[in-house]
Amino acid sequence: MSASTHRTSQRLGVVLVAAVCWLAALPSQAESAQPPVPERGLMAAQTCAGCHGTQGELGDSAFVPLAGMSAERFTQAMRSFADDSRPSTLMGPLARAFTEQEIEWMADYFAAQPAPAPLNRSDREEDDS
Amino acid sequence: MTSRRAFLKLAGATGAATFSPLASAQSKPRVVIVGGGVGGATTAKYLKLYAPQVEVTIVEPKREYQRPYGSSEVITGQATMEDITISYAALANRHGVRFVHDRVTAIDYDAKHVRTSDGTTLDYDRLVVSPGVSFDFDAVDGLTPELAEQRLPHGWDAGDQLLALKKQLEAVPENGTVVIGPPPNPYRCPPGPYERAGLIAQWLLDRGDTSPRVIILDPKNGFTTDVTMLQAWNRLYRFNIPAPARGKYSAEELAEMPDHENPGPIEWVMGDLGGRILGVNAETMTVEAEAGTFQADMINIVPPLKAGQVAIDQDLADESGWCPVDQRTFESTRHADVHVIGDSCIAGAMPKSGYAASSQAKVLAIQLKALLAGNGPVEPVFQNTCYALAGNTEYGMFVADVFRLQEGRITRVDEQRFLPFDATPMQYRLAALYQHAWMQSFSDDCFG
Repeated sequence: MSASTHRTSQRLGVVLVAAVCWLAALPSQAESAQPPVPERGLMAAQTCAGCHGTQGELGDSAFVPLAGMSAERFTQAMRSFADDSRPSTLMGPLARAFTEQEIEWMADYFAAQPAPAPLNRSDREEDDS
Repeated sequence: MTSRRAFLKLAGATGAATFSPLASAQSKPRVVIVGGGVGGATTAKYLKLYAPQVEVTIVEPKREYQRPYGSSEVITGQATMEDITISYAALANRHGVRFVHDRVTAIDYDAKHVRTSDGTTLDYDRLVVSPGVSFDFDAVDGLTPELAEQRLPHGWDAGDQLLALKKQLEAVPENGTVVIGPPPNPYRCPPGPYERAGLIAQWLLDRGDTSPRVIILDPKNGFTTDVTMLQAWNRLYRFNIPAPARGKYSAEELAEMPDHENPGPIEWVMGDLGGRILGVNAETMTVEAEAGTFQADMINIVPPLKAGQVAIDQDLADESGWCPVDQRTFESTRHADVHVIGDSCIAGAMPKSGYAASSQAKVLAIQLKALLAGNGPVEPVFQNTCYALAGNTEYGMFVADVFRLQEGRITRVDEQRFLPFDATPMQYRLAALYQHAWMQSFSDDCFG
């Protein structure tokens, strides 16, 4: 929760400005106070979930969990997949198929999700309310 | 989580007061989902995530799900029935989805309710129908639903037919012949029949057979991932690219796939070579194709597919055997307030795959949330990935696509879809690794 609180204070101004759009925002943004991701952004972000987990949350897996990843790191990864500077199997073509705007929405969405704690799965099992 | 719930209640209440006479008359909007497969389960889970105030009920006769994706590995022993069985407990207990384990016998589109075989009536504001596929046995002379349960299982919808096929494979005599009959388009899991052929060839070779035969009798001249799959077979199984398929490759690429003097087990009798099956005889274990008669020790024909039976029975399919929908919201063009997703629906360029069904389900969850609040639909974006194995379980491949709506039709974004011809050995190994990781991550995303 401390990371979330930290983000809250950082992003408070943004949230106040964005209050008009708040009702259209995702529920999780209300908690973590990231800039609101519109429904179209949610559309884009949810395409990742089949491999990278629901809302980016993943346990032990060959895939990278996206929940809690910083927006900068996510965007940089997608750009380097897209220009093939980062080798991949299928991420290169997929990254090229999404727009810059969608990648920014995805980045904001995953940054707003609580980061999983893969080394402490018993805690996560309880956090399902 | 409390604040998330409180927020959604607030959002829901505001939407109701402002926009929706339906929601104001009904404190909890009701969505009934027919079918507890990938499409139905993912819709239920994501709708509860996005709009927890909605009452979601899945009507599904089976008490647990058996995933068809990856299930050919049951036949060749890399997976067990337990591995492909998925509990509904997380959907029910964690996400608050209600289950009615019964069969739908009627849908009243005017009164907006679903009736099940024990007389239960379920009212809905929006109905989702995601019943998978059914099989057109009449299309193959000599094939019947009864034979599919005995000598000629298709094994294309999980279940005990997989175990029957496993037993049949184990009973194939040394250097025997297996005939695989992939269905015509469109069908569920486009790379699947070819992956199965590869897995069976590998299994026979691993058993020590020196000259087994796996003959694919195909009505088609191509299939999704064919370029990668045929290349893999050329490398792994001394497979010779059939003459009519050589046009799929450049001259340079063909030079890297020389014909083998002593070809291996897999033969692909494509449509242009007479691969279309005319009939089958379970007594003599022969398959009649345009190219001639094939004697086999094991026959695995997947009949032509059509929409799930309940969709056909309830007037949601057209003369094509599939269900036409508005491809933005998946609302049936035949009955209002009913959405058809997954294998049963006509979804433009999207394949009939688990990933596609799940992608459509997530889009539908967003659309249902909007529609139930009296808002307009959201511009959709879809994704599909199908992983497949060449046979050798460390040699993987895939097709991956993003789809968008263009002029009312779901259209593929034109990007590279497969591993390139000159992919590195590591990329094939990674694709196989990801194929197996995906079985878990994908199942968790839909059902967990």
